[in-house]
Amino acid sequence: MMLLDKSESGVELTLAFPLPNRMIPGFSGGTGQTSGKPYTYVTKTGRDIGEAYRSIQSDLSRKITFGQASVIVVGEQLAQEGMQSVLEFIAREPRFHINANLFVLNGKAVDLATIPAVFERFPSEILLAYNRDHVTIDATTNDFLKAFYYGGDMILPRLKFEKKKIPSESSAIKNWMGTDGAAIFKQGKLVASLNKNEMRGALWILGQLKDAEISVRSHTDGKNVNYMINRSKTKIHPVINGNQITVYIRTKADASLISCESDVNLQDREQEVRLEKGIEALVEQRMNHAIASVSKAGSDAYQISSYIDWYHPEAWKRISKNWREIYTNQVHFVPQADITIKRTGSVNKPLKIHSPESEDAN
Amino acid sequence: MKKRTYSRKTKGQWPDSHNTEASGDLFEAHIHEITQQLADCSDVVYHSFLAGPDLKCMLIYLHGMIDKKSLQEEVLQGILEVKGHDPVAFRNDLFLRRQLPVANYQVISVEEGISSILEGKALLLVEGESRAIAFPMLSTNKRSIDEPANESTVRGPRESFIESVDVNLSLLRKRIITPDFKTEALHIGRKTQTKILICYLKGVCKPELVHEIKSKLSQIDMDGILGSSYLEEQLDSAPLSPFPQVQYTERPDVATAAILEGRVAIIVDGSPISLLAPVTLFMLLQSAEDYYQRFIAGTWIRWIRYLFVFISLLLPSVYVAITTFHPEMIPTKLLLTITASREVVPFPALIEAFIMEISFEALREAAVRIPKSIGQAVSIIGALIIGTAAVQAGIVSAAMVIIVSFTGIASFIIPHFDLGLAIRLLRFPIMILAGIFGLFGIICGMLILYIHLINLRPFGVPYLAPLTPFVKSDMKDTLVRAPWWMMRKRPTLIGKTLVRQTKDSRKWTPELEENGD
Repeated sequence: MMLLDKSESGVELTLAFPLPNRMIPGFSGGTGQTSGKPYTYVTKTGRDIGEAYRSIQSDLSRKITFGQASVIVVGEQLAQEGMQSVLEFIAREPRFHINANLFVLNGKAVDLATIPAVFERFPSEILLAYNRDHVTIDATTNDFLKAFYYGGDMILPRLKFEKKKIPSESSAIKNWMGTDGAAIFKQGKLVASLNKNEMRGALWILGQLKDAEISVRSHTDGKNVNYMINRSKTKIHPVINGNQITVYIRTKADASLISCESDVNLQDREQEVRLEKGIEALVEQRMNHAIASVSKAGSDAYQISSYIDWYHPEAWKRISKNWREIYTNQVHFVPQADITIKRTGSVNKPLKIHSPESEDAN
Repeated sequence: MKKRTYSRKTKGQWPDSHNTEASGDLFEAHIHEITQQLADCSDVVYHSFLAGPDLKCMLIYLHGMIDKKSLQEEVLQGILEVKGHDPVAFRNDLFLRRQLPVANYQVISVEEGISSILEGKALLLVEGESRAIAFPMLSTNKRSIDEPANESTVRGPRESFIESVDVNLSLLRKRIITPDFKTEALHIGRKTQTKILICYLKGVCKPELVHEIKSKLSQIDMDGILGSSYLEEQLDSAPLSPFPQVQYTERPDVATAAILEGRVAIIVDGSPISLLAPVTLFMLLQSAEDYYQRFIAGTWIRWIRYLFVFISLLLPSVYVAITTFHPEMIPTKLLLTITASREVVPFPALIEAFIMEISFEALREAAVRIPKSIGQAVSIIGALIIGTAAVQAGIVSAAMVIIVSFTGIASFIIPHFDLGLAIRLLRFPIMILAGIFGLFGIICGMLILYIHLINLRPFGVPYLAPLTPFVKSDMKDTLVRAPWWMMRKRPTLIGKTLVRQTKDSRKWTPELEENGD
């Protein structure tokens, strides 16, 4: 794991290393907690990443290899200054896995060194699991490098800390890490952020949603019907009509019923269709919020430029010179959701209490 | 049939037959000559008797090599029953009209008589006759036909060749019933005069192949041929290559299949292993079992075998290369486990691999010679105690023990023992290359190996056929084992004619589908 911060003289680099001599199997020595954690962090500052890296290497008894670095966390200040130097170093190092995940942290990235690793062996595994389970945006170095060719606008996930007391850990208050929305980049610099709800809308647009929970109000009695959405697929398709660019964002997903408080008849297909329309309206609303926040920042974080280049290359050649202006003013987004309710769970009718007094011919 | 000759140190005096007055002397002289040649051979029996019109006869044979019963019943009784009042008529009956009830006895000169005695025939000398009769009475103890020791199958026949070349030939003869099945005999070896049979199917086999084999074999000038492997070294076209260029088998059905494909089988007297030439790499990776199972099972087992050939050759090298030079190629969790287990080991990965591999080779060699009674206990000691103790003492890492044992198992999957040996040997240079140059070294080593294999052409057949040069119709038996009703042609590079069976041997199937359903 690589943590990057801005310091007065340049960059502060923190590298996380696993300690194999504390992990020897079959030894009755340290089992982890008593003799120390099996990982450590080393921090050095330098004019740029290369210099900081060499000064770390000169301290260590082992050779640093970037071949297993799969997570890069950038502090907020460095992100605001620009991601160019970071990505330059990463792109050139041949051993770096170019699909390493990128994160932005509120505050200083080096604070990540203080979080406890409760469920996993190493903190980097926690961050990798965020990506694997799609709880937040999945952004890799590869994606950001591709974005550089279209203006350098990108959306990255954000992390935050919370001071909490964790029951299983010994000492008092610890930093508990969590996800917190997304960070919007314009020309490689951090300009705005999305809160958690807007970030969920961004997940819909990017098609990275694993599952989402949506509550829709039933039209019969206004009570909540809760659905779990899985298997969403998103297709972004720009259509150019003269000067007007319309971007259709089509999402298809399946919905499964989790719980139902209302007494709407779920066996009736018509009622189901109306509920589906309710869900679709909610999804489109989420997507609209996400698009609005991004457009307000003036950034093309969803890479619409690349879609236009793919679908209409001749038009792109015309537009690309004034793309930024066109994007903020003329591009019109139309999100369209298509949700199908597939399952109602193991029970057909909502659970009700049948009081024995009012039993008729049932 | 090539006549047998042998070189004798002393040239004896062979009196001629014109001197009929000294016929008694002729007889004595012959006997004297033979006795001198075979002096100090305590198993020679000289049985003299009078027969017919009181002619002196002498029966000479080797004690342990004669079927006594037939000798007595057929030869002695037969001679004693031949009526003869006139010596000339008597001799005529025996020598010319062949009245004795013994099959296939030959009238030969007395010079050839000595080698025929040594071959196990009984020699009859009659007074007044310059020729001799040799009765083929050979009966030595033979092993019975048993299950093949090294090539057992689950579903196939369980007969195997034995040491007698006549019995082996009969096993082939009863399987191939056509007059085109030719068996040519050679006698090779100055002192052993071993009988060697070259068996092939005329019309299917290329005549140049037979000619080449015969010319190579006839150039052998050794004291003795004790087994078929002596011939194998002579037949190799690249003797310095580690790869075998002649296949061997002890199963008559495998030999039959090879003959039917147009290859040549060479049977050697005194060895139950017959040689099959020519051979390609893929034939060495096939086992008889593939053909007796159904084609899906056969194909699956074949794929497992191909996978394990690569594992046997490359697994330790890839492990050494990746852990030394390319740790970024394996997932992080696996890398951490390996690193943690290698943390206490004082040797670099290459040395550790060498120690383990060489110990394994030593174990394998020792296992061949362990007496059966302590074999079990020693294997338990070797595996559990030494292996576990070595890991716990920190001399080798657990991952290395796993890799070496896996490689060892993989090398036993190869059906042909010589090929398995070759791959075992080649594993070491590739390991050294991996330890010095990483994956790049492995690739270079494999390229050199590949170039070598391409250049191997035993008997003119490319070693890597049918993969290179690519023959599409032969691929049915290489990567998969196509069902028998799909294999219509013989392998093109070996046999002459192509079509083996009728076009559609499952003609009955469409009718069934119409009726059934």
